[in-house]
Amino acid sequence: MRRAVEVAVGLVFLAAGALKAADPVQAAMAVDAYDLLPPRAALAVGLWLPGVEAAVGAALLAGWFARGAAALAAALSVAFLAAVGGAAVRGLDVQCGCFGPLLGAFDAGWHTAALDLALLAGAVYAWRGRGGAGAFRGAAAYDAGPKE
Amino acid sequence: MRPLFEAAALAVAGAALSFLSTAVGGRVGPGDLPQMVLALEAQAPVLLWRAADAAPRDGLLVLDGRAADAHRRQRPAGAVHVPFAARDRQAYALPEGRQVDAVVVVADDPAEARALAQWVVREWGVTEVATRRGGFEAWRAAGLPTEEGEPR
Repeated sequence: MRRAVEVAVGLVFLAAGALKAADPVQAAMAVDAYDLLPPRAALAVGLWLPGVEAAVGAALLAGWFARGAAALAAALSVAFLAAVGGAAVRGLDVQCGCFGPLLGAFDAGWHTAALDLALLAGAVYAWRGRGGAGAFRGAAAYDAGPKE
Repeated sequence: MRPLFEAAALAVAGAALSFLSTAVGGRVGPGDLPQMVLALEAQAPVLLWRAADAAPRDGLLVLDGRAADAHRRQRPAGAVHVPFAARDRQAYALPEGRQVDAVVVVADDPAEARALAQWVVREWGVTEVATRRGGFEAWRAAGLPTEEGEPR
């Protein structure tokens, strides 16, 4: 079950990263449209995000760095949720930009927030399955590993 | 602490991956960055209008970005026609002698509406510019006034 969740979340992140990487300029403009960051920072984030999403997705799929990947996936989901929720609260008309130009035609809204929530839940579940907060207290849980 | 290091390592690996994918693809180079920053700085946020915002009042201009025949058939009451497809939109000036502090854009496609809204911000200097998914259908569904026939 935990593995299935990791694979599902990993696939979403890998798809998001790969599709954004196909057009990094568009990705940067999508980040900028949320009007959260100054243009330079939005540009940096837009150019950096596709690779990070792809790396997180690949790590979750392959099971490398499992807890770090789950934690980073959760952090990214929180950031996306804040961006989408903030845009909704401020009444901004923005496109999601979640999956780059291919699926970029849909607008940010409650369905996007729901997707982010699902990703967050999946990432937290995967993180807990891999030892969770215990991992921060000591390496014992990590070295013993969870029961498959 | 280990997961934190793992997360940091992944973030760095991702940055390297981003750099490789853009550099190898040759799509974006460091030389393009100043141009991109300028382009982003010219962007302005576009708002979503609600029925109350779009109700007729002084200072509000409704801009119809749809095709000419659709505009002639039926349009938001008092809407000014600035077709999205117009080759030279420079020719469309802010109506003279009108104080405009907000603009609502009605168009067929959300992306077209946003593009027109950006154009309004740039060319007319109005910063309160709002669009909505559904365009003219949303306008009618909200019970806002329309008019028909030849534009005045």
